[in-house]
Amino acid sequence: MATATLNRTYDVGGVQLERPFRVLRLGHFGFNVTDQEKALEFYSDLLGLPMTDTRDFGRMMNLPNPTGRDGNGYFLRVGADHHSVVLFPHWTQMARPGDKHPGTEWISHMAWQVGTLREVTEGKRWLIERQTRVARPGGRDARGANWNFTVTDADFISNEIYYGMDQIGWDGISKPIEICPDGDPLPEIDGVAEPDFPAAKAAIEGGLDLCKGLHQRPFGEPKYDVGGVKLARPFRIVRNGPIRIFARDVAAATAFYRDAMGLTVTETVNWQGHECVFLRANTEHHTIALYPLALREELGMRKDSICMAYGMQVGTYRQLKDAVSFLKEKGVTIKYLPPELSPGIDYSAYAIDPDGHAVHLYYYMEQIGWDGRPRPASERRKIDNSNWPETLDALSDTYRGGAFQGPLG
Amino acid sequence: MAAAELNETYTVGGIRMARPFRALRLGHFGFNYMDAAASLRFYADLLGLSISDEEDFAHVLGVEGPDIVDRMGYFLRIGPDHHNFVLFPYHCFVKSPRPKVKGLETLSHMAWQVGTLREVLEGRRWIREQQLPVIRQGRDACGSNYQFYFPDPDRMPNELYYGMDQIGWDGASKPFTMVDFSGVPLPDGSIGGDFPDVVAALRRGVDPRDGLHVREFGEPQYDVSGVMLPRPFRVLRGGPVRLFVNDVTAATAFYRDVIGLSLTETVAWNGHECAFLRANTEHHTVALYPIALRSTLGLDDDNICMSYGMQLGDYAQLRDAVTFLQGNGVTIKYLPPELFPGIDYSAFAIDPDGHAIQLYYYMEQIGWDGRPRPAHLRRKVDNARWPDALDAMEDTFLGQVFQGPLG
Repeated sequence: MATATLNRTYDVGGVQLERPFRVLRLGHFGFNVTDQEKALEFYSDLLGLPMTDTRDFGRMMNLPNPTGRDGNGYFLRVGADHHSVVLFPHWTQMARPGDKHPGTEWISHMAWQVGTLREVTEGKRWLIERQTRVARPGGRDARGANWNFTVTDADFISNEIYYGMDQIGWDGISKPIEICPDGDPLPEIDGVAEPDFPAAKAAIEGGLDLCKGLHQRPFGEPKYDVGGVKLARPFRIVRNGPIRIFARDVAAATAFYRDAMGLTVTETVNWQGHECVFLRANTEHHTIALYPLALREELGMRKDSICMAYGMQVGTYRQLKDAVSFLKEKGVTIKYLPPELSPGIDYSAYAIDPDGHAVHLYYYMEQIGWDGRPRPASERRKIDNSNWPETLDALSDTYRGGAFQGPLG
Repeated sequence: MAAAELNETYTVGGIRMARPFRALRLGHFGFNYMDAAASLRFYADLLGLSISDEEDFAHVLGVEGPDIVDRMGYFLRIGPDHHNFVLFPYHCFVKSPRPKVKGLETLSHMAWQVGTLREVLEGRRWIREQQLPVIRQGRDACGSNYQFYFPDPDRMPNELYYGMDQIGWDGASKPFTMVDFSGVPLPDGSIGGDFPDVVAALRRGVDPRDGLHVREFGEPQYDVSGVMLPRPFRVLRGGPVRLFVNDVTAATAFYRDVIGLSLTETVAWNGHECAFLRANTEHHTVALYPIALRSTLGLDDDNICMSYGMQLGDYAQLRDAVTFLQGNGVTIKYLPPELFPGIDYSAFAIDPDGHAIQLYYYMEQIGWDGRPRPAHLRRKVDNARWPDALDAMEDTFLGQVFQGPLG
């Protein structure tokens, strides 16, 4: 679908847009994992993401399970969103009907937040009209209560558009099973849903045992001083994303994320003959980065997945350095990739999870304003991955972008 | 203190900065109210902010007497932050020994979030080194934030804080049995994390339901883009704050050099020089106007707060909010749009005490280059004629995202 075919506009809250929704941010991402406990040790115990919820997909799908394999998916959060990372059991996901596309079997989906429920319902109609491939018919998730609809990109990765994720507060409690949605379909176009809070309040006042919604794993020994607070690791993840994808056809993938999802191309980079594209949803330099598949082997990344990395931003440069040391000490493989492949981020490292996926740790993201102008490469910090300085001078946009609001631990 | 005097640098998480903290955002703001019922009707029932907590401020301020009818402080929120807006009882405040400053009697404070507790602790030392008084400090009982307060040149209290409790889908704040009301001081060194203690308390049997303070939700009769709500809009973000100041240059120096905000733009309007500063990517987080402008605009001449901002979800909601509030007896004012660069359409709803709440939907986003949109590229706003719909701009709907459901 070329931009030129977008010959009409849609009213989104009194503002005329090229499509009937506006993606605001990357909300969450999901991996399919071979061993959930090992994955939880990595994502929850080492990286520190609190666990909010579980769901038994083996049971939900009525899958035979003679050996008693763990059929649970695990929902983890960075901040208040019910989930920012989801770990699905690979064995249950492979049992789902439908074609399996090479390189995608370890990727569950990525999810884009929009501002209203109507953007989900009208977005669904619009995407179907444009013959975008539908991955899931949409509805309300049983965990997180987000209203969603899912299509696939040019490489068959599922892209969810959602609204209204449950927020998790100081108590770490997610909705107990008694009040989780159960198969709610999306409203019709122009249909409405009732607000969520009155029903939740009625259940709470009616005696609902909230503590049944507490799924937190044991905390580690709080022995690291992180900006004045003792934590079990010397860093705190404060934001998730961007996602990096090896695309079979970068131009086709760019067209999907720009024209269907409505992201904005910030910059393209030609690295050793490979054309790479960086697109943003909001003020961050990029929310998704697209690389040609041929680059995967050159970089030594996992050979059977087209996910190059999922990003996790830590609070400060000091935390980034300490995270690298801590994870190495814990036996995690750390890789460094050419910094030219992540413009808008300066120092960063890739921690390899138990399934071989890379988690991109960084602390800084260039901020793009109304003028859409990225910082010229000549004005960016020069990174030498063999020599990270002790301290750095502040840039004009250091520690800017969406703020992590709560306490660190 | 001029920027040139900041010749020392401080390391904030491995980054050399001009001060030992980085204000990330305006977290909350507060007024002192005259009549609790009227104020709660305006802010909670009409504007839709949720009450997360209540605290006996007559007790906090050490005042008693038969004339004290309203004694509670109310903490209200927009999103997960325990409070984005507070209402404290004026009549308790005036009886208390706290200093009274003309123009600030009905203003409580404004609060800047930083990223770590250490920034609060080192920030307090640095503020004292700048010869500024620290007027309050400790850990708030309601919200659990670690903080200290110091005044701007017009004596408006500014709070620097870290670690506000987040309120989730259940709407509950920490039950009082988990809260230390005795006045927790700022620590000397590091502290333990909060969440392990919370989980331990919950597993011991503390019931989070005891922390529910919300008012009646209201009849959901308006379709707000697919969700029924009791009002035809949803407030998504707090700020900016607009202050009338005695000396714009001195106030600008304070917010730039002490708080560490960036000066985005200055505007001369009818001979009045106004300054707009930002904490993050929004065009401005605080706006400073010469106090001589106050009477020209016909605003409440008893206080130096021109307005506190509340950003709504979209332009249609802004139009509907104006109609809804007028229908509920609220006075709406329109002020010259040249005074609000970076915002296009906006209206001011006047609260029961005469304070102005600026309702808007769009905020220009400023990137690494610090460059605001040139005035000639901005939308021309005619307050006598708001269009039915607007074309999108490059940064429409961008900025800090409201993450949860609308209701």
